[in-house]
Amino acid sequence: MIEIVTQFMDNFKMLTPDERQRIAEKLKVKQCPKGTVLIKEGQISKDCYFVLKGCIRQFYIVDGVERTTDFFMEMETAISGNTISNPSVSINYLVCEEDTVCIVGNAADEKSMFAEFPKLESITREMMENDLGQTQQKLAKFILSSPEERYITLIETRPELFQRVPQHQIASYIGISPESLSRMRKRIADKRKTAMHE
Amino acid sequence: MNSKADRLSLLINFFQQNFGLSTNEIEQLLDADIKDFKKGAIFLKEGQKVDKCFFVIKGCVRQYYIDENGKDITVDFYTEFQAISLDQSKVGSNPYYLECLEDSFITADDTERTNDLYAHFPQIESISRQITEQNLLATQDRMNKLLSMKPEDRYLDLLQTRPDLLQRVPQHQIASYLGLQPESLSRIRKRLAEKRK
Repeated sequence: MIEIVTQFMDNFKMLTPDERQRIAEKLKVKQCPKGTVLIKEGQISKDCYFVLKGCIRQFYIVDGVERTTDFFMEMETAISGNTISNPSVSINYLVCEEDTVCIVGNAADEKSMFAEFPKLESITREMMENDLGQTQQKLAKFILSSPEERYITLIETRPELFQRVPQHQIASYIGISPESLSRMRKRIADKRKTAMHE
Repeated sequence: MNSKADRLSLLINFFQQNFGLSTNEIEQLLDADIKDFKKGAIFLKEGQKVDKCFFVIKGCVRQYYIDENGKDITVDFYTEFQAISLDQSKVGSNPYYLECLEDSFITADDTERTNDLYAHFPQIESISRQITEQNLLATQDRMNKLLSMKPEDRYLDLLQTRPDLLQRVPQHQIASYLGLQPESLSRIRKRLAEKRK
């Protein structure tokens, strides 16, 4: 398991090999089998999860029905609520949909790590800026779009989702029932066929 | 509120009170390039390289893009003491416009200068990280609400969390920000008003 952390740390060339080694040893790495519930609605959440390998799904339960709000995969961070700076009661769930290896972080660990390795704060800032850019883009693409437009956006921007995540969870993410998703997929496939023959 | 010094003092007060910056660090902020934009000014366009970091001292800025069908889609609003965080990593592919909805004072510092500042003043970089973190959480929170809350609840939530926006921004832009058609927002507002009666 330490190998995957060392490989990840090798991305950061601004750190000396010694710093990378020491940071790798200090990071809290968690190995979670598929199905692990990291946080439930109502629990106090103070941790965030940076995915090294695997997939974490975030969902809410609305009127007894799961509403998927995001999938976090390699190099993405799953956070439940406003957790980093102030621990709060979680209003959603984070569940591992594959065997997952992640780095677990919280405000206290972060503080002591930044004090010991100041360059780490710089690295974190840059990673968060990228994350913010991507999150903004996801929101921008989803905000006023129909389920079909959302489906096409996902095919274009996150094709790996379709290989790794069950259909009904994708349906929930784009805001429709699994049956409607099946019908929609068929409609889109037919359209493509027609377009090819024209 | 007319001189550059007045605007700077607003900025400095904010950073002193919220982040406890030292005098030395504050002096660095004095070099900030503060722009004075009129209502309606568009200071960043689609396709234009993002090579500045923007921070609103006063005013209201709308971030939007034009989709494939020519539709104007509001992504965010930024008001007093909010950093406008745009993705600078992808060169030449900035899809967003930034438009002033009011007369606004905005710092527009070159990314290069900002990075230089970070290198010399770790505390300033730390503040930048904290602000980015807050923006990231807020954006994720909006995405979650969009996908998990009913339209009416999203509107009520906005009334709670950013009531000032409803005074400062046209209705149709609020609708777009909430992921609603303008007609749907009108219906929701009407329904809520009748309930109160």
